Amino acid sequence: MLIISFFLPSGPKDAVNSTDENNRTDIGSGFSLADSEENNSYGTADQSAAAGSSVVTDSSAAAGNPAVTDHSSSADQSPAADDSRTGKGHPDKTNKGSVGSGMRSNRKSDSKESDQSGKADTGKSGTYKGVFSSGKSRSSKKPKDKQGRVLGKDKYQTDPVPSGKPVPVEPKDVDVNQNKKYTCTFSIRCDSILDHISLFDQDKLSVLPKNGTVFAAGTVAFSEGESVFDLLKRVTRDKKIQLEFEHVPIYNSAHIEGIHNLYEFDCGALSGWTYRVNQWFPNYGCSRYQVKDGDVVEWLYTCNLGKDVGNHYSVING
Amino acid sequence: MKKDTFSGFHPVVNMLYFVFVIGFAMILNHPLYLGVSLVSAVIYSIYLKGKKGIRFQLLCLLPLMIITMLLNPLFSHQGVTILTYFPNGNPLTLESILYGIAAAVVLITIITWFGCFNEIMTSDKIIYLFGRVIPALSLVLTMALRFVPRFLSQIKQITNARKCIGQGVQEGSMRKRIRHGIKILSVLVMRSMEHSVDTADSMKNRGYGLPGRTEFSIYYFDRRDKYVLVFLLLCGAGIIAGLVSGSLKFLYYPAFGSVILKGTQNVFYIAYVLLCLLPLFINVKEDLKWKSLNRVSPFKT
Repeated sequence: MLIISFFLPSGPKDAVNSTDENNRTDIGSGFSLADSEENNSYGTADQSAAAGSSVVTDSSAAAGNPAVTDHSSSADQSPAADDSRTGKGHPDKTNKGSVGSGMRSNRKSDSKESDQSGKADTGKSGTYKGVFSSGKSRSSKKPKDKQGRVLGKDKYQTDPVPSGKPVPVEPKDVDVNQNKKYTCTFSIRCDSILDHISLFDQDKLSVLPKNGTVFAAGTVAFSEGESVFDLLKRVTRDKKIQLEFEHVPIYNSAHIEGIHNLYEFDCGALSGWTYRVNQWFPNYGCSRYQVKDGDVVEWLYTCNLGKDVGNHYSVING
Repeated sequence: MKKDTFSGFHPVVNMLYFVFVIGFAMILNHPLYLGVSLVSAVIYSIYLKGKKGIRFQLLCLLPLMIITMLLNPLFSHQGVTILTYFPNGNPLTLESILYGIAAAVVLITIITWFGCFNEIMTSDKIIYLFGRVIPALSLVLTMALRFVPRFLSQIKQITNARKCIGQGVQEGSMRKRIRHGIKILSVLVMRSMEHSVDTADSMKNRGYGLPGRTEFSIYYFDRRDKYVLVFLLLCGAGIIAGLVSGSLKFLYYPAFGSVILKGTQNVFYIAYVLLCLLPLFINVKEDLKWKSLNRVSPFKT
């Protein structure tokens, strides 16, 4: 359940609009909610029935009654509201349903605080998430780490994000706000090729920058809601730097094949482009990383799966 | 087929020629080399097949070339010269277009060369060359190569015969037409199966492929074959030397290389031009000789 909370549409919006600390507390509350849900409903519940009911309550809310959830500002109030809607459900069902709506109401209140996003829209995606969460809850209980977070991969094969780091944001959930402009530091470098020049494709020496800098670190403006990929696309286009990418549906992100005609596998079988934001290598695709004001975004060419540019995640996880 | 002098040469010479031109057409990617190979393949194909050759070039190979040409820039975005952007954000580069053209030229050049190969390397030549080394394979090969033209001529025969008894594919209702069509197909398949079984039996009865079996062939390796063979080997060795030395290397990505030939590259290029145009030289020379002989012939006056 926890992983699903990464995908709540309002979460991302919060991440854009609120400050860093706010963002974290939101996620934290999301976790505790998911946690309590697991404690309450699992074990005794007939899981498939519970899953089904969560769909029902969610869709009913989406179809007709967003106001109900809007009024319930905390998770405690929502069981009553759900009881009234689902009627004679058995206790497990209502319990499960309440969690679904609780999550939703939590989301709603968040979005009320921070954003003027359309309510109907949130309701719809709530339905979708409901279906999705039911699918998840059918599966066996996931192992958890010390903080009570579920271990395992999300829908797009992403491992849990370390605490304090921004969670992935699905590009389809984001509306880029052209009016709100921020700045970040952006650079594209390929120093590692210079250190591994013997591995490098000799036919491409003509495009290899002698100082390893494709795009020197500089301040770049971006609109609110833009991802690292959007930023890269725009900068390369403005600066007439060649870029080839491919959308990979299973990771829901663009895969950068080559920048400035320096392609993956040009410097050995373990080479390619990777990115780093604020000295952290995100463990998800660049289309899902939303840039925040003042971020330091770096695109780095690695010749050894990230180890040579300081990605210790890849070292630990093979 | 028009009278072709080159096909009168020894099968070893013919075979070696095609091994060289088709092999080099696959390996070399320098635009000038591609151009020479394409032009000589097309001219030779038209020389051999006449009007049919021109029609094949225009109706089959030209569209194929255009489609292949257009496909590459859609999937490859490499190259330093960005012309514009696709709607999805990937660039359209000059290099990818040029590479697409080159790949299309290679494709149709090889198809055209194989068309010439089929005209020159008749099944008896293939059997002659490989019959003793790889008997089973060469028999299968000749039968397979013969299969399509035989099929086409037989389909014509059967259709005409069926038409005579009022059961052609153009007669009757839709259902009847389909039935007639299926009948023709069934006759065709039956006939060709029977024929292949007959061929296999016949070859077996003659002791094909057995040790100690002698073969008759009408091929002589005479002086002109020797000269042409030496010439072919020299050209081939020259081009292989060029390939090994790396001076025939040409880059399309990341930047389109310089097309201009320098120093020894000219030597390799001349060798390649001579190699590709060899059968045309031989044929034109022979045609001119024939004409001049006719002019002074006492029989004509």
